[in-house]
Amino acid sequence: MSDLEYILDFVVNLGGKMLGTGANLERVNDTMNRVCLSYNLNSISIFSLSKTIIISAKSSNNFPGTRQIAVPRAVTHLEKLKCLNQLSRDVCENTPPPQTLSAMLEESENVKEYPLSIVILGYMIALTSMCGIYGGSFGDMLSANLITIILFYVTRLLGRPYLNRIISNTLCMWIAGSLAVFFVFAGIGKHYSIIIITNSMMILPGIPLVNAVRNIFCGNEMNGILEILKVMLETMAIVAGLCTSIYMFGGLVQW
Amino acid sequence: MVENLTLVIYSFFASLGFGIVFRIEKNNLCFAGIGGALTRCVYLILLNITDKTLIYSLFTAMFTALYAECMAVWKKVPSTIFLYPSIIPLVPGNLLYNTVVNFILQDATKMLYNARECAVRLAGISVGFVLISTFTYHRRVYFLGKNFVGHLFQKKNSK
Repeated sequence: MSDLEYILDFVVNLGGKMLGTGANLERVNDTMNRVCLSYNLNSISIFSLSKTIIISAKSSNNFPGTRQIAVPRAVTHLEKLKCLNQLSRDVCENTPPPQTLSAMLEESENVKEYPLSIVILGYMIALTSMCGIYGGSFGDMLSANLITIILFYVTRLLGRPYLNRIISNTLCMWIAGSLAVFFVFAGIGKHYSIIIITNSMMILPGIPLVNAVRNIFCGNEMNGILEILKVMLETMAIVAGLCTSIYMFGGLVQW
Repeated sequence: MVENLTLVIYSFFASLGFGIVFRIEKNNLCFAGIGGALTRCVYLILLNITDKTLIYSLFTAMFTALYAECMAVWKKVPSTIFLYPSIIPLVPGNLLYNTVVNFILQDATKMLYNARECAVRLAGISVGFVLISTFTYHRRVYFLGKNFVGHLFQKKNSK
């Protein structure tokens, strides 16, 4: 492999991993461009969507190269993003030998993870607070938390075979809606809508929606429109799951 | 007053909780929570001044983005680390949810109201982010030279 190929491999994989950990598209493009420039590549052309990156460039002796990858499913992991960002800065500053870049990229992904119990605790703190913001009672918070724990494991289970997010959202919200009906019927929770809105915050694509609109304002209209459509479909799936649960068990409570 | 204070405290914990969910390093978690609490404070203050959704969401988002950029410079990490959890109190999740629920319930008036509010708030947040990131981009370009990598080449040449 030539140096150009090593660099392009690194750049495209770095961009893919950054997008996969929740980075904004504009920042990723900027990072890829900077790494290419630091290695004196020219005629750099980057086309990226949240699912695909295509990059082509020429080396200093005008030898051309192109790379294309499919971006893995995005799971927000800001600590990994921080390490990848630091790596890009180090690479730009020190321009290490291109053959070593791939190993550096692999190494930068070894970050300390929170134990599963802490992540669940994080969800519980966040959703208890959101329930409080929406005006929920203690019983609503308790119900929302119990549903959160169940949803957490269901999401992990459904995420394992890479089930389409539209289908998994429908299933998750059907489970959440049915459990909320049960908790209100049992007298644990008081407000069905507050429990449901709180739990939907766990799966509602709020940040992707903000990023999608931001893409449009930043000139990445194609990605922005695709992302908005995706967010709308995912939200419709959430509501479809919820409606199914209401049609099935809604007669039990006031919703 | 007490109600507002409660909202600020809840926002702190909501951002802190989402910070854990987004796997932020524990040293930065508290700052993510503070970001959420400050965002709520600015939001509540602006809500008392104006009832125009676009205005208060725009300025709150600008404040949040500025906070994230300042923290990013101080802590030498990407601004996203502070931006994502801090913006949680502003994300119109309930409006989005109500829009689709009313669409399914065929309540056109409520659906249109929620959809409009949601769209305006999203536009405000996004424009606020873009304005601040454009400003910080130009600030960095001003301090580093003609472009981001200019200083890198200068460094290499001087070696």
